[in-house]
Order: sequence, then structure tokens, then C-alpha cells
Amino acid sequence: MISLRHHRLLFIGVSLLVVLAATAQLNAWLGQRVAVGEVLSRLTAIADIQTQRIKEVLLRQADLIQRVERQVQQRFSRDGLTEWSDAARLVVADLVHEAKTTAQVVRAISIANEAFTIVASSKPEVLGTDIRSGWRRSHPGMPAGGHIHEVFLDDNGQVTVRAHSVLVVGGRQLGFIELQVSADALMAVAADLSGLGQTGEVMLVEKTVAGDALILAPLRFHGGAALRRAIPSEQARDVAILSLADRGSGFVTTATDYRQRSVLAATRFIDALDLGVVVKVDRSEAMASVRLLHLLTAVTTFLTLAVIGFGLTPLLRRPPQP
Amino acid sequence: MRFQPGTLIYGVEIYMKKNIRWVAATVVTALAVVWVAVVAPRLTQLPTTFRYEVEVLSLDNFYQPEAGRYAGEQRSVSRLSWAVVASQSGVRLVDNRFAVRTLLGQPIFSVQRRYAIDPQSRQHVAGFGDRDRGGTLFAPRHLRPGQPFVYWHLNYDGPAHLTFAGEETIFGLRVYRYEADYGGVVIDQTDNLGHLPGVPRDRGVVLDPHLWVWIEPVSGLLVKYRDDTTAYFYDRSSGERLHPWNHFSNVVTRASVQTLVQQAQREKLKLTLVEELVPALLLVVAFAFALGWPRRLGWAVFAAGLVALVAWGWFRFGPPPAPAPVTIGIARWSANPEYTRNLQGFTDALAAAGYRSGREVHYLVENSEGDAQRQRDAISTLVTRRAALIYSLTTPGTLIAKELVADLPIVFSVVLHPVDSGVVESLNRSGNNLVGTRPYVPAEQQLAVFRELVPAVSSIGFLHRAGEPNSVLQLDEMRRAGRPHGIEVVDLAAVDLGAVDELLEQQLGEIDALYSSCDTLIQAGAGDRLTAFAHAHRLPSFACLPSSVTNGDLVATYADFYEIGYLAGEQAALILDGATPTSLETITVQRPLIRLNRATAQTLGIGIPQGLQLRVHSFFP
Repeated sequence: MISLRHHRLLFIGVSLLVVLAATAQLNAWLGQRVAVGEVLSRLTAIADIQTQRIKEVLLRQADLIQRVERQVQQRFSRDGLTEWSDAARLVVADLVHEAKTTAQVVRAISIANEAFTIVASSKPEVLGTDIRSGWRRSHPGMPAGGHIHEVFLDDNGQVTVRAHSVLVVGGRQLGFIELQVSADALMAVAADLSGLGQTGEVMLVEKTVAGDALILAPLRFHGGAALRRAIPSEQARDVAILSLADRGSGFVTTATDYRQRSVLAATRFIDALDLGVVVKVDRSEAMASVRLLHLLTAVTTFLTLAVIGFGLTPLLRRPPQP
Repeated sequence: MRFQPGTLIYGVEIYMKKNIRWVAATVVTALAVVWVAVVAPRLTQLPTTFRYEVEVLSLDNFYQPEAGRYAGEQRSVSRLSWAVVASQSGVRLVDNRFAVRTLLGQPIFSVQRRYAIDPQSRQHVAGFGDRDRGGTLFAPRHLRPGQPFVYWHLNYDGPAHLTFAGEETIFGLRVYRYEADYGGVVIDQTDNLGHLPGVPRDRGVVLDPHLWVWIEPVSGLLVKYRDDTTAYFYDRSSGERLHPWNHFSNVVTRASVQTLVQQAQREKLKLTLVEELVPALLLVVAFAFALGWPRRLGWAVFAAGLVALVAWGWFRFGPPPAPAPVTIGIARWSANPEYTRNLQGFTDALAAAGYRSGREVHYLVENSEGDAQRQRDAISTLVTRRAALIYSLTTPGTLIAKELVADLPIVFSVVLHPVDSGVVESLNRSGNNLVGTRPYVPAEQQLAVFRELVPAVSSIGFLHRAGEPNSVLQLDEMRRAGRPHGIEVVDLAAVDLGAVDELLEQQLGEIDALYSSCDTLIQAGAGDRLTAFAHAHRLPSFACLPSSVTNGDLVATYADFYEIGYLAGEQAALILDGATPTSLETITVQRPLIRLNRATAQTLGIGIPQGLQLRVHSFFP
């Protein structure tokens, strides 16, 4: 028989042990949640910044094509040109040359008539061909004011942006302008790994007609992936597929990436280019600090339990006082 | 509670007390029997949630009847999956899908079949699926070495009589390799290819497949497959073969194999526990009881049984013999430090793809120090030492490798103009056993960056080695790039290093900028002399190598050698996974880097535009 005092001591000791163990578990669980929250906040901030950068790049490129459009309009108005006469062709050829030499990021400029036939271009070999022949994506029509059409690989294997505008002169649609612009600025966004640790990266993806996610910029762990690799739509838990399915802002905590690694990610969508932006980091890297915390908590709990147990034992063994 | 003597139950109580060990042994044995007959089959049957997904690297090579040849291989997006979709009369209905699309999502081939599978034996069951089939879903469980079996691969939908071809280890898992050539079985895909011209009205499509599968023998699960098939058009009225349609191959990607191996390992563990270890443990306990447990002999039997089970577990799950690493031969041509960075990129990419140095791959490195004969010897050595793939640097080095090796894949790098120099037929399709990467940045782009800094430039001195084909091509390209801007590109062709200073002095006053080409003379020291000359005469200079900027040139727009090495390593990994060199493209970096020397810019009084500052990858100092 043990005394009432011993009963109390035992009760307090066991309660203390239970509370300690439960606190340790709760602490570990909360720690994990906090770590996931912190990583997602960081990824979200990076996603917002990079999305803004991409939008600015696209805006600059749309401005560029508008500038070319305005120049053509001004020259046509000044010279009283309304048709695709020889004089008009010469004027346009001159403007194309000028625009090409002044804007360093422009790789090629082509102007087509209403029948989509190229009448002037900085690339002589495409004269007389259909301006749509090299397009990767079909487009029902071209809005006025300039827009970005697509990202593609040029003849040299360089990632390039194609921008379009309708050429309107004197209120009448006269043809189309196409600019091929260096995608360096766009690629620089994907190459910026600031704050993304050892495994994080920014992915730019586009949805194909089959729903696959076509990679648009080199990946951190697959340098040659841009426009040469697509993630099949059947991989429903892939973070790139998820970003295109959402078509909006969000974050994912239970997805895998193109390396089949479990990742944490923030996603954004840019309507102008049907472009998904994924900012992600491997879950294992994101949780590395928590794992250390878990280990420390487990060791501390174990040591505390051992100390309490050691302290209680003599009390329990002491014979009850009369 | 005590039973009264003389009653039956008293008798039973006395009997049980006297024979308690036999009673316990019988009860435990009965438990083992129940486990084996009732519990284990339920735990190991094909679950209704079964799903098996495989990522496939597909290569299609379509035949061009007008040209009488194949167009060249192209990579596609493929996905293969099995999933239980319903249960009917105790039979699992499994949908097997395969879809092949172009990178842009255009369909090439897609098929879906419905199998009826017995959940226990995993054999096809007649009368429930979309047609009656024989054989198993993948392979029978507990496959013995050499045991043949029949498998229906959805792409061919005919019985593949697989024969044992050997034992291998994949990602630490022991597997059996099987193969089949469908001899005597007609594989007709006419019904699945109705989108092809004339199909199915006038023409049909028939296949000559060859299939390899890798099976984990305990679970019977497939961990990898590969096929190599030619599809032919045939005349539907006469049955005569007309011409090929497509030569294609499929292989499970390395990442997917890794996932399948993990899945097979889990299934193997589960089967071993449920079907073998638990009943065996029960029998050991029963035997121990029978021999008097907890007396000493019973303990001894129990301990011996446990030791035997652990030994059995070790035999089954212990590490299999490590597979011999693949040998990659590297012919680096010279000791240039940039080439060392390139090799680092190459090995890093292979490691990232699962080919770690010393484990999955073994590198043999030969340095011929720029000597053609030594390069020949180096290549011969690599072939003799059974390299599975050769990695070759530089144009002259790769041309020698190409000349000597026709039956091994060669991945090259640091070859600036691989088409003009005859290394490959075209960048898209090499048409031979070579593919690789090049440090190419269009002259137009290099000039555009330079003109952002020096917009008023009107003549550029282009220094290179006289007669070197690579730099002559660069000169032509730079001239074409300069022409629209009214820039004259002056040819400074030096015979050797000694002629450089004199050549530069002669042109002083005629040129207002200098360019260091990517050629052997520049790398041999002419680049340093050009930089010194430019500094002495306050001329802006630009280059195609970043090291020139470190030495004092104003700017370089360049392809990073580490990066092109990394890209080449990715190509090598794909080839080791089953791709052919001609199915891959010869590529350069997708984003050239810019390095700018701030001190030189300051000395020359050149301001750096903000747009350029944002694009510069590295400043020096």
C-alpha cells in the first residue's frame, strides 16, 4: 500500500509527464505549421514581385510595338499613302530598318498586308510569305494597340517573344506588324533565384491545347527545358499543371514538381500570355529547420522526463512517516 | 470457478491443463491456417484504389514516302496509366490508357483498353473487359528465374510471350528482364489510327514490335519497359505492306522508374510480411509451444525460428550486388580552365539525373593537349576501355572522335559551328551518332549589346587566326550583323601570336573598336594583347569569352561554358536512358549572359544604360 502523499506525488508526476509530452507534440505540430506559413509567405512575396516584373516586361514590349505602329501611321499620313503601293513598301522598309537599328532588343520586324503576306521585313528571306506561318499558337484575330502573342524558339534556339499589332492608317486596317523581341528580360525573371535557397526556382509555363504545361524558360535542374519539355496534364498533382488549372493566385502545399519532388509553391497567372508563374521550393529544404526543431524538442522532452522520473523515484521509495 | 468432478467440462479442463502446450500449438496453427486461407488473400488482392502511372520518353520517327526516308526522331509527351475503375462479380475492371502528344499538345496516338482482372491471381478474366485476353496484368507474383509468362501491352493488344533475359538491379531493387518480339502474332493498329490518311478505308497499319520489360519478381510489378517498333501501312484489300509509317520507341523515364521501384519495394514488403513472415512466425510459435514453451527447449526453438526469419528477410531485402557503373569516356582536348568548368557542368547534370560519379557512372578522362594524334590515341583508349558514351570537347577533337567511332553515342560541346564543320547534318537532327551543345551567341546579339554602350561605333577590328574555319564563319556573321548599322568589320587575320601586335598597329586609326573572336589564337594569348592594345589606345573592345572582360575588355555576351556543359550532361543522361543522339537537338544556351567591366567603362567614359544594367549577369570588378 502506498500512502496518500505518494498517491498525490505519483498523480502530479504522471500528469506532468503527460502535459510535457503533449506540449512537445503540439509544439512540433505548431512549428511545422509556422514553418510552412513562413515559407509560403516568402514564396507569395517572390511570386508577386516576379509577376509584376513579367507584366512590366510585357508592357515595355507592347509599348515598343505601339511605337513602331505610330511611326508607320505618321509616315503614311505625311506621305498621303493609303494603299500598299511601291512607295508605301519603300517607306515601310525604311521604317523597319530604322526601328530595328534603334531598338537593340528587337530581333526582327515584319509588316504584312491584310492578306497576311509580309511586305517588309528586317529578315529578307521571309518577304512574300504568310506572317502566320511561324506561329506556334493560332490566334483568331489581332487586336489594335499591340499585344504579346507567344514565346517561341528562334532559328538560333534562343527564346524569343513575338508581339503583334494591327496597322490602322486613316481609320482603315492596312495590315499587321510583328516584332520578334529578345526574351532576355523575361528569362532573367526565371533565372532570378534570390531568396529561393538551394532547390527553389521560378517556373514559367503555358497551357497547350491538350492541357499540358509547356515550359517556357530554362529550369534550375533542366537547363534545356524551355519550349522543349512539357508536363503531361495527366500528372494532376504536378505544381505546373495545378497553376494552369487555377488560372489565378494561390499556393499549394501538397504537390510535386517535374523531378517528382514534393514542393511548396505559390502560383500566379498572367492572362495576357496565358502564362502560369510558379515559385516553388522543395518541401524537404523548407522543413529542414523544423526537422532540427523536432529533434531538439524530442531530446529535450526525453531528458526532462528522465530528470523528473529520477527525482520522483526516491520520493516514492521513501517509507511513509507515522 | 471450479467444475464438479465427473462432468464433461471438468474432464476437458483437466485435459487442457495436462496438454496445455498441445492445445496452444493447435490454436496457433489454426490461426496460421486462417491467416493464410482467409486474411492474407484479402490483404494482398488488387485493391479497388489501384493506380499505376508511368511517364514515358517517346521518340517518333515518321517516314516520308516522297523522300523515301525517315524525317528524323522527335520527342513527344507521353503518359501511361493503369487504374481500377470498377468491380464486377468479384472481378476488377482496369482502364489502361496511353496518350502520345507533340510538345504543343497535338495528338500522335492515344488508346484506352479495359481489362478484367482477377484480384487475387491478377490474371485476365474472359467476359468482362473490352475483349478476352490471356496472361496477367503485369507478371505473375513470386516469379521464378527463367519462368516465362504472357503479358498484354496496351500499345499492341496482343499476347507478348515474354522470355527471361536476365537479372538486374535497378535503384537497389533486384528485377528480372524479359523480352518478346511478338513472333507469329499480328499486331494491327488500324482501329486506333483512323486519323491517318486512307486509314481505315484503304489502308491499315501493322506493327513489328520488340518489347523489353523489367519485373520485380515477388510482386510481379512492372518497374520499367522499353519498346522499339516499326509501323507499316498495308493495303487492306491485298494485305501487302506498302511503306513504313513510323519508327518509334518508348522508354520509362528515369524519374518514373525510381517511383515505380519504390512502389514495387512497398508491395514486395507487404507480400512478404502478409504471405510469408506472419504465417511463418505463427508456425514458429506453434512449434515452440509444442516443444514445451516457455521451457528451455521451446525458447530455443522460438529463438532459432526468429533468427531464421531475420535471415530470410535479409536474403530478400538485403542490398543486392551493386550494378557495374556505366563508363563515360571524356576527351577534353586541352587543359583550358573553361573546359574544366564545362566538365563540371556535364557531371553535375548527370548527377542531377541520377548518374552519380563512382556509383552509377565512372568517368575516364583523356587530355590530348590539342594534339590530333594524341586525340586519336585517347579516343581509341576510351573505346578499348568499353566506354558506353564519349563526351568530346572542341571542333577538332570531336571531328576526330566522329571519324573513329560510329557505333557509340558521342556527345560534344564547345563546337561553335557543328553543321558547317561537318560534325552533324543539322542542328535539329544530327543524322548520326552525335549530338551536343555549342557556345554560340549570334553576332547580332553581341553587337547589339556593344552598341548599347558604344552607339557611335562605325568600324570594328575583328582579330582571329588566319584560315581558321570557325573564326572565318564568325567574321562573316559579324559583317552581316554590322552591315544594317553601317558598321565596317575589318578583318585582322593573324598567322600567329607574333603577328598580332603588328597587325593591330597597322590598323590603328582605321578602326574605332576591337573584337576578340572565339578562336584558338585568342585563347592562346592574342586576346590579352588585343586588350592591352585597346587600353593603350583607349579603344572599346568586346569579346565572346567572359575571361576577356576579366582581362580588361569592355563587355562580353557569351554562352557560359558550365551551362553548355550542363546541357550536354542532360543530353548524355537522356541517351543513357534510351534516347538516340539523332532524336535530340544540338543546342546552345537559351539565355546568353552579359559580363561588363565597370573599370574599363569608367576609363573610357562610357555610361551604362539602365536597361543594360538590369540585364548584365556579372560586373567586373
